[in-house]
Amino acid sequence: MTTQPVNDAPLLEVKDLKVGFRTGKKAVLTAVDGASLSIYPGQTIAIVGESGSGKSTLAHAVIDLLPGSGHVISGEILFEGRDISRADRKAVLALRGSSIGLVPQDPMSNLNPLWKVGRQIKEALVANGVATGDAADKRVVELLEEAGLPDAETRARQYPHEFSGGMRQRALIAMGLASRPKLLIADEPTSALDVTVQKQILDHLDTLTDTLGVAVMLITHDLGLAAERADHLVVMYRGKIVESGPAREILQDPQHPYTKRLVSNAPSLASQRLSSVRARAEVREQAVQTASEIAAEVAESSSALGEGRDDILVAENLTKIFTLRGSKPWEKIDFAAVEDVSFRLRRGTITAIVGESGSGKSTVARMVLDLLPPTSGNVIFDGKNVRDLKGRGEHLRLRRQMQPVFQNPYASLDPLYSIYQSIEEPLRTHEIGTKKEREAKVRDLLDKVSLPTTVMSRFPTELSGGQRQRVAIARALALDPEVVICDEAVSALDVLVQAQILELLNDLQAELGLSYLFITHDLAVVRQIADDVLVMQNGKVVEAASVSEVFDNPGQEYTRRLLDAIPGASIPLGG
Amino acid sequence: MWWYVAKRLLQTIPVFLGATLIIFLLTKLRPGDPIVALAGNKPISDEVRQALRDQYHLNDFVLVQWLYFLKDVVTFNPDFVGLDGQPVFQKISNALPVTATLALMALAMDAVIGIVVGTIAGLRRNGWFDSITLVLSLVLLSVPIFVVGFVLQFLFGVKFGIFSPTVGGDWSVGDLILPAFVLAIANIATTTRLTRTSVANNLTADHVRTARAKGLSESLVIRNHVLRNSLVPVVTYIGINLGSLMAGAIITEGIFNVQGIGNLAFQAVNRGDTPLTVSVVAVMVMIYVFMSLIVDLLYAVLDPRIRYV
Repeated sequence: MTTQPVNDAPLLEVKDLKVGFRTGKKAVLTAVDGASLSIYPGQTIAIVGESGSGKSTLAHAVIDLLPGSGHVISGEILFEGRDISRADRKAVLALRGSSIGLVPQDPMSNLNPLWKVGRQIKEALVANGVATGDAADKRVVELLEEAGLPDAETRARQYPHEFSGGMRQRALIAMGLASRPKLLIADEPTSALDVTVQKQILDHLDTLTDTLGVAVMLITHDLGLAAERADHLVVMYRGKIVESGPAREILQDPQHPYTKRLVSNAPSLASQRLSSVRARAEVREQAVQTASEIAAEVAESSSALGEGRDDILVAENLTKIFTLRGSKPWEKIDFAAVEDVSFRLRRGTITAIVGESGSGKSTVARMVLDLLPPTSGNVIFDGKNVRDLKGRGEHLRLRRQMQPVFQNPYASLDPLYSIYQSIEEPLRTHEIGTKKEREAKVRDLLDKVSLPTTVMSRFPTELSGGQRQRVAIARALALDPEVVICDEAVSALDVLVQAQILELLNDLQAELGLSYLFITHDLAVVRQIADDVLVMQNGKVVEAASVSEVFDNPGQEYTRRLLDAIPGASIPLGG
Repeated sequence: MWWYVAKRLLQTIPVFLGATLIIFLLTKLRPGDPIVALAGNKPISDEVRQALRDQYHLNDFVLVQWLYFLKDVVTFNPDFVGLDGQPVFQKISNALPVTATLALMALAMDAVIGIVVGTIAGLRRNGWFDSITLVLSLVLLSVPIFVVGFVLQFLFGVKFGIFSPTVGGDWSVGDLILPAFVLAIANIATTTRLTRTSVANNLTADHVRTARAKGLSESLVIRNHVLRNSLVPVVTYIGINLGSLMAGAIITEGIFNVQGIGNLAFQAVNRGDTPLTVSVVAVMVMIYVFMSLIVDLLYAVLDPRIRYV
């Protein structure tokens, strides 16, 4: 982080910028409405906002890469004193790459899959007249090394699909900085990556831009991350800049109601607060009580599958081995996705499984849900071994008592089913109630997840991401399950929506005595929702303990790394 | 990759057996006595009929007849004859060059016109060129090939006399220009539309925006990051087309009197000549299978992500 030089003129000055998209013949949707900001040479500022707030549009306007019908309606974008919003194509082309660099959001889609990585960086050097021929090839290797890519010479000759996500993002950083721009626009540069990789990359980007004296415009949805990385914050909400100022000031004394909500609810920040631990404890007490009442009922009833035990879900030495094809037709490679995983979920509590992508946590979820047969090991649901279930009838009963909520609410709802049909479907499958009773149940469920009954006739595309996830939760609750398995259930959502859904899950647990298995890559949300944590790495459990133990006294180096990677943890909060 | 090629080549065996068996059975289901057709619908004595039936194994069980056929084909028996007593392999090798030339010419027209027009339309989506292209391709797709064929034959062959209206047995490449164009028309329309959509989609791809952000000029962006990426699906489609072009030649060869595979197949089916029909169709099936293998391999050349195991 650099402090801003006082006497310098700003490098970039955005004055009262309005950007719109043509949506019809005359209709214009204003995405950025009267934004003003300035960046001084070498300064890092962060623009924070939720999806649709106009933060990316603002960034793209600066480099004149607005998609589709996007255009600057009014205002000025001054780069080194010259207005580039009205400059001709040639002048803008001269700025791109050489004066203003871009590190885009999604490393998976931002490299051309058909060209070698080195060639794609060389292209930038040649186009901006930095170097050509062999000199350019040499420079490419230097740049990749500088971006922290080991074995850069070999890597330059590889294709993007041979790179991991983190490596691709490093290549994109090398590309963005290739021609030594004065301003680097980093558009959510790490939101598609695992938390630990995210931290490494951001650390590296920080040092690099510091040494090179490059000004950075960091676009992010994560307030904690923004505050940690930038000295100046700009908060955007619905196309307008609602607050801007020094990062620490905004975090400790937010003025605008939206910023206040962000500061109090963003999981990365809320996870530091002890208040969230206390709130969770209260919820658990209530939930355990309700759950034990339900357990007593289950023990007496003959229609339920289980026996009303305290440990409602037990996994014993679960192992899943996938057999992959080798390079020759007769070769087979065994890949252990999950190795010897055991845990118990107590009635009315929440156990979280935390790990990076590829750690095997979702495979565990699928085995527990009886959607994937384990290679060895047992899943015991309320005293009954799932392996011993006989016939469709018993499997259906298990499904009634254990329901999933998946990560992507865009994909887990059938786009051709109305919301009513989606929620009613499990009731119909299990032949529960008459048509009237089912309708009453759907209304009741929508009420439980705080959605108006008017959404019943609407379709998934008409709802926001948070609303869709509420629908998915309502569907999971339709059969009155005892266990809900949430596989990254809040990961695809904006921070404030995340906080709302977590609260909803807590409330529902207290009310219905549910038990959750909560799978996530984000330790930050764990503190608000979980009681016990299982940390997974490469298919194995490396640490299993209560939430407070894991947060206050992590036993494993890997867990510590995950904790350190929660952005904004080092910043003292007000309030 | 060689494992993949070997596997694919092995797969052609069941394809060959299955295809010939199905067509063999279908021709047997066809009403009418092939011996009567052979005799030109004149009455023949029972001895002659029996002799002919024995010669062609017509008295055997149908699957046995198929095995006799397979034996002749697999051993390339030069005495393997059709109902008219003429060697089948000879006939096919006479007819194949003209059809292959015709199909390759049609393929070249398809690729060149389709890709060029489609690319321009895709780059200027919703412009006047794009709109005209879309309407025109829709018209070409909806008009049957025999209508286009006869109209063009009349206009360019008869009225203006630029091309010879028919080809005949003694053909030259120049004669085939008009038939090849007629054959290619529907495919050109589809290739154009496919290229257009592919180019237009690629224009909005994230990596294209990144290329612009790097400071590349528009022409470099298009050449390096839009065109090659857009061609991947198009090449697949065009390659598969060669097979369908050979099959589609039946109508075109009829209109322009080209003595090719299509004509041969047509005559063989008409006469109920099972050995010839099945052989011709088997050749077409094999060409189709090998073309799709070549396309799959080409796909890996264009797209480094594709690896065959």
